[in-house]
Amino acid sequence: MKLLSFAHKNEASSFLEAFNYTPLAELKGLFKSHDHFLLITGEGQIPALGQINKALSLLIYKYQIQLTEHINMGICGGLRESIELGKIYRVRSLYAEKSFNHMQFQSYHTNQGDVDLVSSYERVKSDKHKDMLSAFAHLVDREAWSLARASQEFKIDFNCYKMVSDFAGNDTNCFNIQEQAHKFSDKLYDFYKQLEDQNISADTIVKSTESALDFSNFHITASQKNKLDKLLQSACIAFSKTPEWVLAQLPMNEIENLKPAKKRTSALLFELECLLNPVKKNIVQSMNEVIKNTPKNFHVNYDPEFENTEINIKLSLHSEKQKQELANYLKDFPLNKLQSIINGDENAI
Amino acid sequence: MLFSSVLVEKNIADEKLVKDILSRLPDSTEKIEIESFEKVFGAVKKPYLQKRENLNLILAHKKGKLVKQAPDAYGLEGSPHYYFVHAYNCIYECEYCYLQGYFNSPDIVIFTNRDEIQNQIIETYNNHKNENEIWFHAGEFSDSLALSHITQECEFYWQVFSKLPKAKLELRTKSANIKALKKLKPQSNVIVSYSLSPEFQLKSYDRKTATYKQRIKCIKELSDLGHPVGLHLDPIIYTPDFKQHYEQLFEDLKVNINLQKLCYISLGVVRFSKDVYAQLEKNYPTSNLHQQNFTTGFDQKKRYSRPLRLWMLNQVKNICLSYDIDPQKVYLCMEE
Ligand code: SF4
Repeated sequence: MKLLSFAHKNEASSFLEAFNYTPLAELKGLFKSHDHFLLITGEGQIPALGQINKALSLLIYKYQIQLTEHINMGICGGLRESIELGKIYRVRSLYAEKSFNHMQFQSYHTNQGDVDLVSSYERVKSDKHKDMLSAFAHLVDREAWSLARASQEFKIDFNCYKMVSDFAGNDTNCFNIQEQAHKFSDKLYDFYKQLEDQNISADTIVKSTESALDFSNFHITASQKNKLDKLLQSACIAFSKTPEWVLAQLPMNEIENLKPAKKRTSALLFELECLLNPVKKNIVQSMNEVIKNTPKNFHVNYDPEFENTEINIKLSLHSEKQKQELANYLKDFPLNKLQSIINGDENAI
Repeated sequence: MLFSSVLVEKNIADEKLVKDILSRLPDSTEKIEIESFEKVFGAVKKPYLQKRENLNLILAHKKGKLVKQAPDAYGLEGSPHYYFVHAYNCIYECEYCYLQGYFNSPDIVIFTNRDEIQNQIIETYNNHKNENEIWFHAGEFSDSLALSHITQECEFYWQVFSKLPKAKLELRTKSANIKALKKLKPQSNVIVSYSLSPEFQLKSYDRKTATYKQRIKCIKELSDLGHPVGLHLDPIIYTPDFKQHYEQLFEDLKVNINLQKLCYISLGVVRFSKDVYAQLEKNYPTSNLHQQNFTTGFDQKKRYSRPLRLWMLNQVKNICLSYDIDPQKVYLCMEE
């Protein structure tokens, strides 16, 4: 289902006549037809934000409606000379003015569009105000930015089509549409019908965030889960494949047979990293090859990201014999070899 | 049309330079006056890729420091390096460009208070009287030549550096816009440095820039005219056969220019800050760069692991040396 929104009832008059709407009792200004809803948002960033939030909460949470697209239509003022009066524009980016000469940093963007629009904090009745806003956008209205913001928060595709009723600034009619309301609304209605005919509606992007892997067999800490998700996502982007495909590239049987569960998690993360970075596997193998004869009670550690050339040896001494063993081991310890791998030794890559 | 509109700071609208720049833009470019560029540029988040259909040009004065110390390993070792801020952003679109995560807007800003830039260059120069040479780089936040036909900057900086014999000026570029340079008398302290990558890589990642062949042609033309030329082999991107591609690149250069005449060659491997990588994922979700062997460092930077990047740098360095390039002229860019 779609949601259409207009700031004023006048702008929506042709729609209200053409479709067989029923008002929804829970929210004044919200109407239902057989295939869409229509909302009158009121004028201004804050009233519109309040109204759209109420409407979306009601439709999505109470009525469990799956909204596919929010289309905001209406009239607006022109800010730049290149703008044609009476023309309907597809809006590309939506900006907002916080107070005079101060902009909201956050902006919103539609899937299509040719011009940008700024929602002003008050009606633009001076050229000074118009000039300031014209640096950001071609068109000005009072509420579209709030509507785009709410739509993004509710994850609904947002599109915006605005008809230019006059130019903002000293000579504005304050977007007074009373006299011409029907003419404007008729035009918007015809445009909407064309849109319907062309069936311009952005596809809903369904993002699969959950992997097909059953993690119950793994012991995964919160930070490991975070890492796993990030690696999986990077691999999906890198290979343009699904998480299922990515996981199928890993030696899952081997990983799942490892014990204890902690080891399975480390191996899974390591294999995923190696899938994204095959050179890493070679380097790890070369490092391990060099230290493979390390006595059992000595642990040789190196920076897993290889950014640091420092090598740590950890051991606990229990006897003079072990002390001697350590001395012998350190005498021939292949520090140079390990560091040369970290510094890009040709044979290791 | 290159720019959808040009935004000019009100108090500079009458400047000759501003008028000259405006006169070189198509008449149809919409002109808008603004209070100050800081109030507009980056005041709102403008998507990077809107540079494709909605790129504004902003003409402004930049206040404060216009000459800044360059980061470590920015150029040849042993001399102080500075960059001067004459513009923000670039008309080209390289997938790895760090500018996509740097500013909140892709709009181009050209700073027209050149006299102040010049004064700060001279001041910095005078502060380093005891040095044998001092480097100034243009193009930290933009391509040095891409808009030179509109800005006529080359002519200006040519004259500035003609009076600073111990100073070197580096103009970094990927542009074939060398018309202005060809008319200027070569100056030993003004070096045009071309960023170059193997042809297939350049085709995949450098959009709208001069092509591989065009860049080599420009290098040849400038070199033949006696202009000092440098090379940036940056970013080097890993493929199993990248060595062959760099050998080919040197072969292609060798038939066109005397390699020994190159002033320097800098080498750098591809790397990303966290923000730039996030932008890369957003702007170019299908880029081959996502298939690279990157690791994420403690600083959240994405880059090749140390063994791989040092190995790659050494491989390309060895190729340079095999073409009899003086090892002193080869330096590693932004690397330890
Ligand atoms: S030429 Fe340089 S500044 Fe311009 S887009 Fe490419 S990398 Fe960025």
